[in-house]
Amino acid sequence: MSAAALRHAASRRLPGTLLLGGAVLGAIAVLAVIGPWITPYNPTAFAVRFRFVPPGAAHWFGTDEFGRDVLSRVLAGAHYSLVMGFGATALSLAVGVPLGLLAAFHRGLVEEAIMRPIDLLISLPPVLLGLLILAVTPPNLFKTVLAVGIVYVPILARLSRAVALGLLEEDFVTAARARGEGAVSILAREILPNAWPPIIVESGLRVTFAILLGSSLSFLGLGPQPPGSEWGLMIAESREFLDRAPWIGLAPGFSLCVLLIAVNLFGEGLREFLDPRLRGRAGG
Amino acid sequence: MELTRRALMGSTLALAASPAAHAAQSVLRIAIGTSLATLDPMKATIGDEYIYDCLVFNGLTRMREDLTIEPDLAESWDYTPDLKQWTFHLRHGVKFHNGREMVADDVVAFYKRMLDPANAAPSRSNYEMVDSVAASDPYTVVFLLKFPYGGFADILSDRQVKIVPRDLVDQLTTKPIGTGPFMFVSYTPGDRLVLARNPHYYEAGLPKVDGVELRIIPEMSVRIAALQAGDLDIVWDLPLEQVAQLKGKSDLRVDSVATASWDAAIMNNTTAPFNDVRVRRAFQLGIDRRDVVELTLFGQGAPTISPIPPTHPFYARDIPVSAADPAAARKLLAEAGHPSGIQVPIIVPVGRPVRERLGVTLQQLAQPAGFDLTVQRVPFASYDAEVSGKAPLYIDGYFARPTIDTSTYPFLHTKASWNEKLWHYSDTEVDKALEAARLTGDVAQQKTQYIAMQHALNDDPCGFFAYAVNFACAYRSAVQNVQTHPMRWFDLRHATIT
Repeated sequence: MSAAALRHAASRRLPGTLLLGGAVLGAIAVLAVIGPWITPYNPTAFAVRFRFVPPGAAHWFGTDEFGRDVLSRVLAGAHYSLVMGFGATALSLAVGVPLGLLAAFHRGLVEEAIMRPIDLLISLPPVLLGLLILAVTPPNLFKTVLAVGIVYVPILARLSRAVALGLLEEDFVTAARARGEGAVSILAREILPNAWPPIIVESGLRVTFAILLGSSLSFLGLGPQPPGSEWGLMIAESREFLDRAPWIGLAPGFSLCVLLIAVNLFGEGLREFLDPRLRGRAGG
Repeated sequence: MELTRRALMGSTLALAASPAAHAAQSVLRIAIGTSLATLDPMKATIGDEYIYDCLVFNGLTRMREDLTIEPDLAESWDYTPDLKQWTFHLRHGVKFHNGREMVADDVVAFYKRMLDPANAAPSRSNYEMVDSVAASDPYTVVFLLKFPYGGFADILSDRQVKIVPRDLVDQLTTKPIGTGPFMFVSYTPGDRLVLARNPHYYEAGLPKVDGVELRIIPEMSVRIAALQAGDLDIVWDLPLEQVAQLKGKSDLRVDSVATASWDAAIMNNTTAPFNDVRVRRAFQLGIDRRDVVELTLFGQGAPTISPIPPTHPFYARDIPVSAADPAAARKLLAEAGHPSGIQVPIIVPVGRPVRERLGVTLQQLAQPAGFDLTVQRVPFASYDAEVSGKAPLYIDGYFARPTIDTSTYPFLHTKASWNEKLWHYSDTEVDKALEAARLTGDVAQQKTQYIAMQHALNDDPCGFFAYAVNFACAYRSAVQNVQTHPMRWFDLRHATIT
């Protein structure tokens, strides 16, 4: 994979999965941004006489145990998942990629110092690591993003190191070394532009996991706090009423499902689009 | 494929037949939520364990469902006029499950063990008035108290003070033996605790059923489904939102009884902003407790202003439960130096759904009164280390206790143990009333003092007592002669399955 391959790829037809995933993701992103302004009801206001109203014309997704409109809450909470998914991925990119590149360039002591702690982090289950980071301080959205981001740093660091190791053998890198370029310059100007396609593809898939992990942590109480309507938290709060008012948990659960499938399709499409090995199938 | 389906149908039929088989043996199957952490009643700390304690063991006295006290192992008792010497006369011929007679030495040995700080009994602080306990003959136990205590016979009915054989204390955690209506058979944590009828129980003809099984089923929805399918007889501690839901079913009986268990928004009286009484009063003024009961408990409770529930004769009925007055609350806040309101976090315990809901309810209802509360969910397990007695505002609550003294004094007196772990509250009038009520044996006098205490507490609130919460159980209609006990345990001596 090289910059030339990318340019070549750009001239090809976009895969259907990329278009479909992108369209749904775009729609959800728009809803998340304008959500707070288009909610039919105030998402935190109680309505004692309208508790547990099933889905219908007045309340499309029904109402919850406090009489709050579930559709309004789902809309008002959409941005949490997107911020967690993309924010955490951006964070792990910003930390993981430079670490991986550095480790690839400075073999030996620096590599050991970077990669061994990263191996240690990988060995911990993601939810447990997230819990460890969040449980010691009062939780909020920013800390959840931070925790999820840290959880996925090792994966991106390892990936970028692997990609960079291959690229460092290439002639243009040897040429750059011969010109006397420094480490930062070689990594930033020679390696990174050629390494980013697989990293982008991996990040696309990471977003899915980040959204899921973020929601799991909120479900456990370590994310946005009530009366905020993060979807994982909504599902956690709805559990008690599952048998009499299943819509309270189904609405955010279904929304989360659609979002995850959209992100996954988008990531898969991106991989098809950028991976030369799939060129025959995707390019047509 | 066909074969598998037939086999499946067969097993379903077998399952459907099993309730009938159980009825023939008349074993009461009760669903609880948590595994028992200990089989030693002295060490019990959770409601699930108290059920077992009250089935396998007896105390000196027993509390009935209407909260009156009746004789149990002690046939009668008397006390000196200064209320400092209490003599209990034991029933003759009561046998432990191994056949040995229960005598005064067993009672003395138990109380000595419970009062020894080395044994770290959770209820020890409730009995701090006991100076000494001794047996004057095999059927007489004499307690000497450090200070007069009118409700002493009442507190001997509590869930952790059950008499066990003095020579078999070591096997309490594995093969517990008591004098109660049911005998321990087996216990599998995570699955069930099996008890069998005690044929030598001291009340002839009781208990009526052959046995009791406490089934540990963590998910409430599974418990309710099993009850409706007839695989269970009793669901203990029904969630309050289920009460109205299940009341309509013809084959079930749902019981929701008033109790003295309470929840509150605990305010730290030593730090800003709640160190100012005007701020605490503003919070109280700004919220209608009836709305809280409706929103948090689905109506299954009653507003209260102290741990004394409205069902108790000592409740101060002349203090009205008034509608919210946000304007007055804001005015008070302004006087206290918060003209634009107060922003403060409110901590709620994760894993206590009712209390979580109380936090969200208060967050919303306190807004018009000028309180901008930010909800923070903290695992209940971290409460002791991080929250209790430290955070400026948090949700917590306590189970009912056997007497009004034990329900109020430890929480509200300046020097009391729980007060330090809650609000650090100090009000001389409340202190005076609590002390006076404790030192008199006269009920009318006690009532006067407790009503005075509630008035003082209403004028100088320590926090926000939200409600006295109901306790509900669901029974299969076939289960008869079991009443729902406000103390959350069961008296199954007269229970039958028809």
